[in-house]
Order: sequence, then C-alpha cells, then structure tokens
Amino acid sequence: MDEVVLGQRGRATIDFHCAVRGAVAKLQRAVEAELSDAGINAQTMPEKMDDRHRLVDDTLARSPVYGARALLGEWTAKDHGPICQDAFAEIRETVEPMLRALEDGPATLELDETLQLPAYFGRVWFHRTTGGWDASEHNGFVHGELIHKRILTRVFGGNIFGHRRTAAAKAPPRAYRRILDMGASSGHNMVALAEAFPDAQISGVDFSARMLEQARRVANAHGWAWKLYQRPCEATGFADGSFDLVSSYNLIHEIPPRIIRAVFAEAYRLLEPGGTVIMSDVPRYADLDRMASWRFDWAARWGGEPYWRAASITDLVAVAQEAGFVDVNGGVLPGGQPYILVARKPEAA
Amino acid sequence: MTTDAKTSPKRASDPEPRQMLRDNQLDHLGEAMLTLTREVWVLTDRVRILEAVLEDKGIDVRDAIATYVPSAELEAELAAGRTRLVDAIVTALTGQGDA
Repeated sequence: MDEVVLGQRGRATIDFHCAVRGAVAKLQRAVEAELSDAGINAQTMPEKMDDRHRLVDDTLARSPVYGARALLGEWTAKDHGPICQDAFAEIRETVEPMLRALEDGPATLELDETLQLPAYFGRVWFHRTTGGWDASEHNGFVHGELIHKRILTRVFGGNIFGHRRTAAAKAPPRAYRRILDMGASSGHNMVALAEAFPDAQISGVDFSARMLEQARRVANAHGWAWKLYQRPCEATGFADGSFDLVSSYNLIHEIPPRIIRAVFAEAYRLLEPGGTVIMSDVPRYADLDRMASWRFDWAARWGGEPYWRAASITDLVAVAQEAGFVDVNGGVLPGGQPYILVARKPEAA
Repeated sequence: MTTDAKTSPKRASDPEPRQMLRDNQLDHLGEAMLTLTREVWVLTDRVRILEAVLEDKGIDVRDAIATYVPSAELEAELAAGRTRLVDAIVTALTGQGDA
C-alpha cells in the first residue's frame, strides 16, 4: 500500500508523540540508574515479579524521575490511538477512495457476523485502544498504517517488520504451498510470509473484522490472493492437515495460557504430517535478567497487555511438545527480540 | 489556587483560601500539561512551515501578520480551534480520556 501523506496536524502530533516516547526511554534509563544507586540491580532484585514491583515502588516513592516516567508513559499509552484517529480524520477525504478501491482485488475476506467474541478478546482494550480493535470504521488502516508504520517503527528502532522477515526465514527450506497465519491482524506478518514464499497460498485468521479489512487492502495492493477469515485461532474450522506451514507473530502475548495451548493444538491439527510451525513473540522472562523482565513487565502492566506476564512465563517449548510437535527449537534473536519457536509435526502423525 | 497569607495582605473582599484541584487530580494535571505542550508544538511546527512556504514563494509575511485583523469567517474558525484546544485540556485534566 502506498504511504499516505499526512496533514500538518497529524504529522506534527505524531512527531511530538514520538519525541515524548524518546523522553520516556531516557527517563527509564534514569530510573534504573537511581535503582542502581540504591543497590537494586538484576542480581539483587527479588525472584517474584510482584515483589520486584513493590521494591521499586517503595524505593522510588519520592523520586520525581520515577513519577515523570510514569506520567509520560501513561500519557503516551493513552495518546497514540486518539492522535492517529485524528491524523486519519484530517486526510480522510483523500484516503477513503483509495481504501475503497483496495477492497477489490484477488484477496478474499470471509467475515462472520454471528461470531461470538470470547471474553478474553472481546472485553479487552488491547494496548489501551479505546473501544477495542473494532471501535471505529477505519481502525485497521489507523493501526496498520499509522500506529505501526508512523510510531512503532520509530519507537522500536525501525526493524519491527524486518523481524517478521527474519522469523519467516527460520522455516526449514522447502516449497511451502499452503500457509496459515494465526492472528493475522492487518497483515504485517503475512507480508513477510508472502515475500518469503511467493508461490504459496497464504491464509489468515483473526477476530478483528477491521484489521482483516486492512489486511485485504494490503494484499490487493500487492496483487496477492490471500484468503482471510474472521475465525478464532484456537478453533479455525479448517480440515485436518490443511496447511504445510502455520505461523504467528505477536499473537501469543495477546492470549491467556489456556488459549496458547489451544492454539498450539490447533496448529498441530491443521498441519499435514511433516509440516512446520513458527510462533514468534516477545522474549521469555526466563531468557532475561530480573531487571530486563521487570522493565518489560512494568511497561506491559500499564500498557494494556493483560496477558503479557502469563504468556512470557509460559514455557512455549514445553507447550509445543505437549501438543505433539518434535524438533522444537525456541530462542531469542541477537538484540533481544523476538523470541522465535520453530517445530515440526512428525511425518508419522 | 491557594493564597499565601504571609505575603498577601488580607482584604475584606478576599474569598477564603481554597484548593480547587483535588489531590487525585495531580496526575491529570501532568497529562494536561503534556497535552498542552503537544498543541504548542503543533502550532510551532505549523507557523514555521507557513513561513517556509511563503518564503519559497518570495513572500515575507512577518510584518503583515503582526497587523492583520481576522475576518468574521476566520475568527469563527479560530474560535472552533480554541474550543477544541480547551476541550482537550479539560478532558485530560478531568481524566475523561482515561482508557
């Protein structure tokens, strides 16, 4: 999809937002320096996460730096959605014809108006997005094109799409023909899969109609015949052995552990014997030191990530093995992100 | 706002000192400050862009801006913008934008 030109207000507000995010990063480093001065570091932090939070809160109870870090973090957490909605409203008249045109093309989208959203999804405003993913007509474009490409790529070093390509490249080399992306959202991971496996038929499932609509636009802009379905990842309804590669990127930390296990079981069922699963997500706490995992947990606690901690302490290798997968390999990339798990369904299954 | 009794002589017409914002509005006050700062930045950016656009066209507008009287239509536009700015501050100050 061609990058849109933002209006002055939208561009300036996003610029300012990113500047505040930069200030948050500096304040976080200052917070950890104050903790270090107080003798608190990765080696001295308590084992239990709640104890770590209490220790930091008590130690820095009168710290203006800690207060400012909390304030700026809180404000940016609530600010990113509304300012991108406003940025879209500013250019809506010029962008809408393009969005409508991209509804037509080789990609297909099957929405389910009778779908009952489970509480773990329907009652959560992920990332503190007011009203949830489907709150407004163009949330898919707003999130996929504005929040991800105009804010997150700047805040997280500009390589969040490169990570998806790296994850796709972890698949054992073979001519994959039928690929499923679980938690497809607005299609960012499907783009990486389409680039890595241009001859494959790629399908995607997600709960969010608005995000799937944006994924359809992305596919049509590229001329890709993606098949998109509004279905639960843990109960897709596809026949056994429908795919030779099942993938997800940043789905795991958005679902509770019981659904994580159900998703792995569903991936196993959907794969043909010998098929590959690649699940990528945020780092496992077990792979981080206590300060780093506290840092992630603090951000998740206030950032609209209700399942982050439970997902991050879940042993995904064990979950994959329990589902029946073999040759299970999980690890984090150099640089700390993302965690990538690759496994295989036995040929004899 | 509180009145400092030691430095401000009491007059019969002075109201009783009071604290208008509640203690639990401190965080909202901080967020309001950030929201206001964002709007200041948007305007700073816009003015600089405007100057650059006009300079590119060979027009120096700085003196003309200083003496300009807005038309009724422009004044209405400015009023709407001011209302939007004030509403944004009030939303942050009262916590109405909390998600």
